[in-house]
Amino acid sequence: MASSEEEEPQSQIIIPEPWVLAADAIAYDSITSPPPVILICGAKNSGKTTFSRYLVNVLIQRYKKVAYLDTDVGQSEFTPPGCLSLTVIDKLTPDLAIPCLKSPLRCYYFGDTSSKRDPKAYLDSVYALYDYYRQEYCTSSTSNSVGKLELPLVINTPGWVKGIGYEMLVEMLKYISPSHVVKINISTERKNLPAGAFWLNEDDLENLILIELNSALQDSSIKLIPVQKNSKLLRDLKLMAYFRQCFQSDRNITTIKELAHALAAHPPFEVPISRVKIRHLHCEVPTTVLYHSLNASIVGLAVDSKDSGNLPCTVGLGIIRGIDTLRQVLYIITPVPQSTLEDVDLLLQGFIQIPTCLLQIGGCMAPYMIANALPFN
Amino acid sequence: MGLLNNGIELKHWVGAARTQAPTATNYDVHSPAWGDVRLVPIRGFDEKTTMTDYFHGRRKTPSGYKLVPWMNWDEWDSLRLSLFSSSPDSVASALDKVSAWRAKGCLPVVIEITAAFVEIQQKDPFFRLVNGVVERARQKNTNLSLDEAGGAIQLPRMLIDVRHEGSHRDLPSLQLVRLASIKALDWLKSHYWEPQKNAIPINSDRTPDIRNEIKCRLHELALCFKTKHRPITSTPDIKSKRIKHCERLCGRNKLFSLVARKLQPPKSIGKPVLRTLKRLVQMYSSFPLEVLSVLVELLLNLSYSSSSPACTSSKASQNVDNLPSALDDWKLVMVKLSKKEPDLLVNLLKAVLKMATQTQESMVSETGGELPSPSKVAVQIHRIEQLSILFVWLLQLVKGLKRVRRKSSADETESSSEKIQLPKQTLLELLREWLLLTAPRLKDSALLLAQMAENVSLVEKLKKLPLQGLSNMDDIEDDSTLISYDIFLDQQEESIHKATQQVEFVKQCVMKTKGKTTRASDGERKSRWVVAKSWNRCPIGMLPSDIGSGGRLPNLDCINNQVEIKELISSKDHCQVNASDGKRKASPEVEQLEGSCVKRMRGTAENSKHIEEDIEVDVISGIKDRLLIGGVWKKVGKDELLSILSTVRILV
Repeated sequence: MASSEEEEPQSQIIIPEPWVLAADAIAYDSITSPPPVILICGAKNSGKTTFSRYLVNVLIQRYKKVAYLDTDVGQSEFTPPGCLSLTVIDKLTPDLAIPCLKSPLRCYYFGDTSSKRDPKAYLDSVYALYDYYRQEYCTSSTSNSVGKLELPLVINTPGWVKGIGYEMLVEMLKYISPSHVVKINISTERKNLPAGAFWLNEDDLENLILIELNSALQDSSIKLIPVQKNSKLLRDLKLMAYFRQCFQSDRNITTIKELAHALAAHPPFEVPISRVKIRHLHCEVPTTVLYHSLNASIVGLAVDSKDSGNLPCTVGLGIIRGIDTLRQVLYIITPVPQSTLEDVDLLLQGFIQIPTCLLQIGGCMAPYMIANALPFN
Repeated sequence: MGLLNNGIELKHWVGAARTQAPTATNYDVHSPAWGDVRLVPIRGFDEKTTMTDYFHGRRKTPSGYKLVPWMNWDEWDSLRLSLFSSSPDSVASALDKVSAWRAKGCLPVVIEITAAFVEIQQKDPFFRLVNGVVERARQKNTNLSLDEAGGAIQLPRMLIDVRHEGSHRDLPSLQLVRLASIKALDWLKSHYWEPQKNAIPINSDRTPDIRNEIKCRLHELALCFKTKHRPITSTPDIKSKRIKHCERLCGRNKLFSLVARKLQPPKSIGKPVLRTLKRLVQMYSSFPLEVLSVLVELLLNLSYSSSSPACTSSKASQNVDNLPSALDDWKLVMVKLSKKEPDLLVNLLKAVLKMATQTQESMVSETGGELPSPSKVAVQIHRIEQLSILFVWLLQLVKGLKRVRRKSSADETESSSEKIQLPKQTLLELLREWLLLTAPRLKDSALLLAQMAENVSLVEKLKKLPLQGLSNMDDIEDDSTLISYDIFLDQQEESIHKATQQVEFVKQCVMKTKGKTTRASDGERKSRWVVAKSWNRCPIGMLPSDIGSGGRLPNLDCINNQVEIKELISSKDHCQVNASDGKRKASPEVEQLEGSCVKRMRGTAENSKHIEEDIEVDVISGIKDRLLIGGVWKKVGKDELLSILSTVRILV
């Protein structure tokens, strides 16, 4: 890290004593084979992500590598928003306050910031990622386990723990049946998950270690900004950081404005419309107006599985920055390298919106950005 | 997967996650793949205002702009019209479009509701089905519930449910439902569609004001620079004329400020200049077309006024640098403006080109089958002459600008140099269009363009080409009153000779580029994803325009009409007999050559513009197998060419 980082006051995240003990217990009191599978759940703003990051750091010290299943599509950890991913982490996170983009091992594009629009597709993706983890890194159950690395798994979950969100969490817990469940409670009791192993019948507790923690932040007066607005900002920032990767790191792009300009001038990939399939994840669009929905939007770049049962793996996101209907090509900006792109034959359109500041560049009229709009939303 | 192996960190809050406002945003690249360790803040987020703006991003951006699923108000308005149209087809297409908009995720709820109501009205038969048919089924057996009745006649259950819930078990009459939906739509119309339509700034109403302001600001700027550079010697009459002009446009305050500014010592001018410049840049970004047309008009008038046709043309024709001095005053204005707006000059070049082409076309079409009146021809030729002077002037500005930038670009990042340097394709595109003109100074400007494109072989070839242009045009002008049929004939013969050589040049170019293009297309066949070969900066959602960074709006409508596309492509080679150009093909040889394929190249150029990938090929393909005869490109065969060649050899 650069020296300027050290001058700043180190992140003011204070890990409370119970959290430290809990993480140590998970990391060092568990057996290594099968490795621990830890699911962290709790209401919004309880500190799930912070605990997950801390736990990963502790686990890395013992296991060198840790698998991370991110199921929070609204505030994804290592990917741009709207993605469900399985990532292997082999480095300590130096600052727990800083999320960073990492290349996931496997990723599915859900295409929305909440699972509520399609609970089934959401759960299917989670299950598929978990299955993949089992197959690759938790091999003790199978015979050919020799020589394969076994990694602990940390699962971070969304903070939607009421209504359908609760039901989905229960489904997830039942499918995965983790070895450890860390439940973080906040001071507002009614927003918390039910006490105990709420997803299990009373007598099924044998193989489970349930850890109940309190949120590190009990003082709700600290909330300066409504979470929702904050999340929108964070999502946009993450998308911008993601598309910043289209350019060399040494290129002088420091402001959002510069990024918007650089993207506008960036030669995009050109792909014939006939050679990709286009799928809308959350709504139906008649083919006659397909391009109207696609232009200037973000899509998941996926590899369509030959096997219809498998979900299409996503290799990254792209901005459809222009459509030439005459030449029948799509112009797509993406940081995904060309070699990886070659397999991409499926574009998934969801509801992840392009940050508005990327559309506006000085000196040009930006389409889709409208003045004089009446305040109807 | 290997796509994100360059870990980029985003640092955006201090303290516990999500409970505090982000105070700084850092990209922190720490992966060894990137080679070095850097910490780069996104400055935009350090400022508080930006933060708050951002939090309200969905509602409004600082500039009052909002993200919507339509490209512009035109698109919105055409949806409005078809949504409320009486034609079921256009209503259906409007509903389709709303579903496309919905997929983009930022559709205003009023539009969604409107579409839902319109859709329900469209599906009126279903309502009747539920109400009428099901009721009748129930009447036969009053013990049946509505569901059962529906089931009995195999009506989809969902239909009944929707209707049932919507009406709270009390079956509303069809009239009532219809009435309600009409009322609801009326409410939507009067509370959203109409007021929104009225809130759209309609350019046509405000255009004169805008044009006036642009004009005024430009004069202001020119005056500032003029006083700055030539405080004493500048001619008083021009100045006072300008001030008068400004006074009329901007009123008294402006005049006073102008005069005051003029009295100030030159060095203190900085700020007002900057302000004016800023305003102009603003106007250019919101009304690019207006600014361009005002500028062209202004510069053209200047070059007109400073050069009477009789005296300057012959002089100017010999020396490119001998441009009207009135334009010099504007040089600095243009330089300053184009520093702010790098695409301005190119867009101006394009505008001039367009005007020249239009003038020439009108010369051909207006005269029809008859001889043009000499005075009219003279006027138009003079106009083209002026336009070409302007073209060369602008070209030199571009060239000069480029040189300056290069010197200073040593320490600058690539972004600035890529902004300034015109892409070669752009230059070649310009060259191609310019070659289609029968304009004076054709060769000068063509050479300039080729040089700027750094295409040495092209320069050489152009030098060899005695391009049609100057000499004969000057002849016409010198004795414009004596214009006659004979002169035309002479010109034709000469132009044939020149055209022959041109064709040779074209042939060579074609041979040269052939190899290149086939290789390129082979590569494309292999890989699905290729990086676009050339790209002009343009906003996301637009396609790059050939010149400049304004971009053009894509036509997103066509799908499943491959036939249409094919037709468009083939129309490039489609030749039509052009009846209106009889005047200019007077020589007997030409009559023979003509055959059935005569086409003015304007049309083909338009069509092929977006189709051709390689513009260098495009330059050539536009005039391939054709002869420029009196400003008209005509298709000729090889034999015909040979015969011409033998006849013109005597003349050389």
